[in-house]
Amino acid sequence: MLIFCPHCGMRPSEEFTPKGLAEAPRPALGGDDRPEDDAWQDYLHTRTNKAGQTNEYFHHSLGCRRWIVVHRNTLTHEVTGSTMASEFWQNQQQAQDWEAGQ
Amino acid sequence: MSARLPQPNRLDHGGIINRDRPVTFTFDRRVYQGFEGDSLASALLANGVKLFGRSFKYHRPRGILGAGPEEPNALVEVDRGPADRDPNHRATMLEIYEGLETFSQNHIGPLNMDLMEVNDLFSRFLPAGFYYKTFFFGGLQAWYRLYEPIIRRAAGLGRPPLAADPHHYDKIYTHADTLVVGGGIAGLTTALSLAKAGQSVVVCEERDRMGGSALWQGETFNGETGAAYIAHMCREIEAAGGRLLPRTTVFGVYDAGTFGAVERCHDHLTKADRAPHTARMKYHRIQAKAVVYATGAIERSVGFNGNDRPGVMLASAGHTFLGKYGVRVGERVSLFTTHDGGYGTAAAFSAAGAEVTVLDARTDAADVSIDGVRVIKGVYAGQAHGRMGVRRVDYDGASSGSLDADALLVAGGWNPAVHLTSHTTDRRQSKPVYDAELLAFVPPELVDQEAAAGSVTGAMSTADCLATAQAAGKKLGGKKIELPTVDQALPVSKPMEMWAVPGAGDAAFLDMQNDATVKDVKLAAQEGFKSVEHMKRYTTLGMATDQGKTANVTGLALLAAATGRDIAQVGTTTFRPPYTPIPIGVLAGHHRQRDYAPFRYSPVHAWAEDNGATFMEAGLWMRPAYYTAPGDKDWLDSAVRETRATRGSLGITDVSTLGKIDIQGPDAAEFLNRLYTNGWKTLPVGKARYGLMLREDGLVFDDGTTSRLGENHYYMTTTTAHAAAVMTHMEFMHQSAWPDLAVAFASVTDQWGALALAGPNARACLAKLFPEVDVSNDGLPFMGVIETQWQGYTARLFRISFSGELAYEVAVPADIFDAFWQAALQAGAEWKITPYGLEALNIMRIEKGHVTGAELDGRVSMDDVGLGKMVSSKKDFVGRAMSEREAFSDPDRAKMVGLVAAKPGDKIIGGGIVFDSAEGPFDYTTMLGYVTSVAQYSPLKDRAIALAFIKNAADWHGKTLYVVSHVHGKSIMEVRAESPHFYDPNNEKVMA
Amino acid sequence: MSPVLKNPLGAKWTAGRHGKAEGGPGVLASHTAGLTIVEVAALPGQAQAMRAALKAAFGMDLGAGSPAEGAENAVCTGPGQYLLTGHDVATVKAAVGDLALAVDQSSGRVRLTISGPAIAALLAKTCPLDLATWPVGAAHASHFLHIACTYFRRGDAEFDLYVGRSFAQSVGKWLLDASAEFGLEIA
Repeated sequence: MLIFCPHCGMRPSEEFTPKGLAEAPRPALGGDDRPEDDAWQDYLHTRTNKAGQTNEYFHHSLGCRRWIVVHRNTLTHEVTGSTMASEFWQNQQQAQDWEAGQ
Repeated sequence: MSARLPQPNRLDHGGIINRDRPVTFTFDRRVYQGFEGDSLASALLANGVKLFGRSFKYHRPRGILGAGPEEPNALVEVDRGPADRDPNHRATMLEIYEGLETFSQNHIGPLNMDLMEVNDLFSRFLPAGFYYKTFFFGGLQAWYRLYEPIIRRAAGLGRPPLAADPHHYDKIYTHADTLVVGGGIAGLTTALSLAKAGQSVVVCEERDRMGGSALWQGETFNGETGAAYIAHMCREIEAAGGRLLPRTTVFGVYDAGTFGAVERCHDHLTKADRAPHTARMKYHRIQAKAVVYATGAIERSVGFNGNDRPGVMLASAGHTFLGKYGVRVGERVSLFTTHDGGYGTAAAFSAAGAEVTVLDARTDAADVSIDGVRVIKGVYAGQAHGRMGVRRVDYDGASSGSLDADALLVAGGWNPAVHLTSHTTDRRQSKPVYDAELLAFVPPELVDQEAAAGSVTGAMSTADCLATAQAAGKKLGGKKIELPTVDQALPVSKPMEMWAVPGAGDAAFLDMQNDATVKDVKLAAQEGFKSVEHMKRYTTLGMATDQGKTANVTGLALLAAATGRDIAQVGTTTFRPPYTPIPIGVLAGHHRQRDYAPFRYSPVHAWAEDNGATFMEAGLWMRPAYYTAPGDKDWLDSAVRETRATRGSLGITDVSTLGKIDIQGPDAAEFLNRLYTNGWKTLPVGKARYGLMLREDGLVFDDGTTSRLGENHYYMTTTTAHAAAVMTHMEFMHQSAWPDLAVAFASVTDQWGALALAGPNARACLAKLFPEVDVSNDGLPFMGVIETQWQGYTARLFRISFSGELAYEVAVPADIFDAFWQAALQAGAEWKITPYGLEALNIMRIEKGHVTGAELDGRVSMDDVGLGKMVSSKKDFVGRAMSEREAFSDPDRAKMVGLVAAKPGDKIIGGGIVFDSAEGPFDYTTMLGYVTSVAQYSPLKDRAIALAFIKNAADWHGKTLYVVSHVHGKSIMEVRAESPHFYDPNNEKVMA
Repeated sequence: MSPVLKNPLGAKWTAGRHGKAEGGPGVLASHTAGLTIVEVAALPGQAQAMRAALKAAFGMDLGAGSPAEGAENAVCTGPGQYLLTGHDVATVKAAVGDLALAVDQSSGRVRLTISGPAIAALLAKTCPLDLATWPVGAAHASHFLHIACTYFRRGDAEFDLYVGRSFAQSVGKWLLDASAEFGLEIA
């Protein structure tokens, strides 16, 4: 399997360490959030486990050591692209557009 | 070998073997001779051997069915001693070499008098599902004591090797624009077309040479022999930069153009001929942008009684032995065919002097006249006779009769080798498709980067195969090449639909390797196993080493008939890698035993080795556990001596393995504030602080100290165990959550060697090493940091302590750390400086009540380890929200406590469970908690001590508890609970 | 007197011929002891400015920062991340100022230079990437038999390998194993 890294290009999957679905951003800094808050539940626990297009965190651990968000179809294993994690949430709108286009 | 031995079935001409090079080998200790280029099967057949092994279940005598990788019967063992015993070689794929020793398998006693053959006499009692149905009697005990041992003795394929595989294997990353699987004439034609267009092409051929059946079938190409035409095509491909890999089986297709292939480099060579330092096999992980499946087709048999007798063989196999090896498998040959293809084989046998009778199942077959060949139309082989080799064939149908025969060839039609085309899941439709016209499964619709060429597409004649090859080349961007004219073309036609003959029953075998019969399939259908996957598991048809290459399609066709469905509706089982068996060692490659994973070594590893250290693995690191000094009785003796020396005067230990991270940038302090539970903005330059990190779920992740070296410059240390995880965590938080924080960090674990000086004389020793630095309690107070120089190199002095003593950690660049270590030993000599390892460190940190990975096991909260006060309530940090979960404030939550053995000499077993009574019951309803760390001897307490987590920990201080180890015979150990801070609870020593 | 630098490659890494003895060596290897290596990593959003600062100070042209746009003394290991050789950490820190992190890795990284006629066959055993697609001057952060390793292509058949010091002994041993069939000459 190959995974696209925005910096390094197409790389074999053994260079990457998966973390899981990237479905919600970390809640903004607050200070008095409660564990039961929806934002925390979504960030930590709620996963849609979709069959189809997903966004997943991968760490390019044997490479440039960047966290990337990989766009992968769980039905076909096809990797259609990836985004630097540092840009992913800021480009949420863009990400939604991308998903709508699939 | 100079003497030539007779080979009675070898013709005096023909074949592509090297008749100038006789090869002597053994089979079941008998000496035989073949020629270079022979397979074990062809060489033994040349010698008149018909019996190759015994079947799996009924132990029926079996011969050769096929001539290639599909062979289900003739599995042999190659024995080069107990460590190098290699079972389940297909005799048809094993190339002979001088001195090769082989053995038949799966029999008790001699091959021709197998004691297990009794199973065959009772075969009507062993139908599909027999084991499932029968061994309920007597219950589980009877299964374990009676049935299972007998079945285990009777079953199984070959004997496993008894020692570690002595061979060396390599893994190779191979890249290509296009991978061509199969080096027959179709694969080579496509490869040539692609190579000429400038693509890098790799052709993998599982046989010993390129060319496939074109080498020997007798067809000519532009007037050239097949062998000559193939040879010049190979030269052209190589001249265009293509790579040809013979003896290489592509065993699996994976996502995104990844393929697994095994190249066999040694198995066909004598030991002397194997180049030194080379691998027995190479596992090629092939990455290709496109693939051509030119995997050919496998002939199928027909179900009739006795179709497994030695001497009953696929027509293509008989033809291969004749054409490729010059071996005639019989003199009186019956050939049972369902299509025109059988006539090519009949003609070849007739030309080789055999008396041939064709039994053509078709009543309407066109008349074919071949010299010396008798044709009977509208009949099928009803029964083959001859236990150790075919003697007579009964036919039935439009007419009936009986023929004397010493070989029965069966041409039941062709199954395209579609296996690889359905391995991958990265296209929607991956299962093979049934073509009712061709009576065969063909590859599913392929994606743009895939093509199929040759008989795998269902093409039958060589000319059609070449046309598909050209189309495949065109699809993948190849150059158009002139196709040759094929002369002396062999006849082909679609087969008549006949999967089993009328009256085929429990001696009509489909899967020879698993002894699954026509009757078994019908029984499975009758008992409700109507899904092809259920039928496979119930009858075992299609399992074991050959994965039913000759049996599957026939089995599911019969299932379709028995359940009144179309074959297309029944479908196939799922083909999965590997296509043919591969040794597990070749997948491991270099990574086995001590090379399984890399080791990490401290810069003073060599010194420690030379000075009595015994090492233990800490993650990838090798760390000294203890140093054996003269007079030490055991490891504990050494560790206690090291502890006493350190507490009494001066110890030194290597802490180079601790994780170290350099953090720089204007937002560095803010970043630390968010990572750690405690506050960092007030830490002055030149000071270190202990910090605790949580995971986002509120549990403790790691601890360590971070020092402020400059305005925007910090130096973090982590535990050895969590170093990589902490770095990864920091990268994740920075990049995914706070990408705008102006901070950057890098692992400097390998840059710095670090040692700890501990004990009452540590300061004096440090002062000697750094005479120009003020290391007094005022100059370098507890948690103070000084950056200075040693011999012109940067040195960092940290006043921190893990042992509970007055202690310093000193870091210098790893290149000179060995020199610095020696200097420290010299400086400390006057105080009898003593190197200590992890065991002594463990004793000291347990005495001090310091936690490590044993306590921070991913289940404990800050409160649980007594660090609940280390929270700055004024800020957000990783895990803050979740650390307020209700469960964390449950008074019943287990918290850390110290345990002391009741009397000297008593042991406390690590991992033991803590109870408040010695009476039991010792189960989860009564357990208070569990032991995490044990010091088998604490000099402070003169007995064993431990750290544990128990409910209501503080309430138990001063009381008696019991530790029970369920894995050590429920031994009950009496202990007393107290504060985990056994040693210097007020930190007077570390602050001194 | 300056202290002796310790060989990080282990006792088996000795000068001379290893593995196959006949014919010329297929692989040549050398290790540069005492090389000054500094790691720089740009702060967020400062990569281009950092490259400009490096160009101004040392004349390194690192283009737009792709792994292919490196130099022998500035090997790209990630976005805005380089291993610089030949300049000490103080000089580099002065050049990049607050744009980037700069840390000494002279002891932290080991640089091996390997070359020879069998180099492609050797690297096919250790590195998952396709050498044929690398221009001279390109760097690739990947692995050496699953040990993190940055490869830099010096020439057609000449590569620099940067590995963590604590891994160097395993790298040395595995390089000896993998090159035995070609014959290895250690300088």
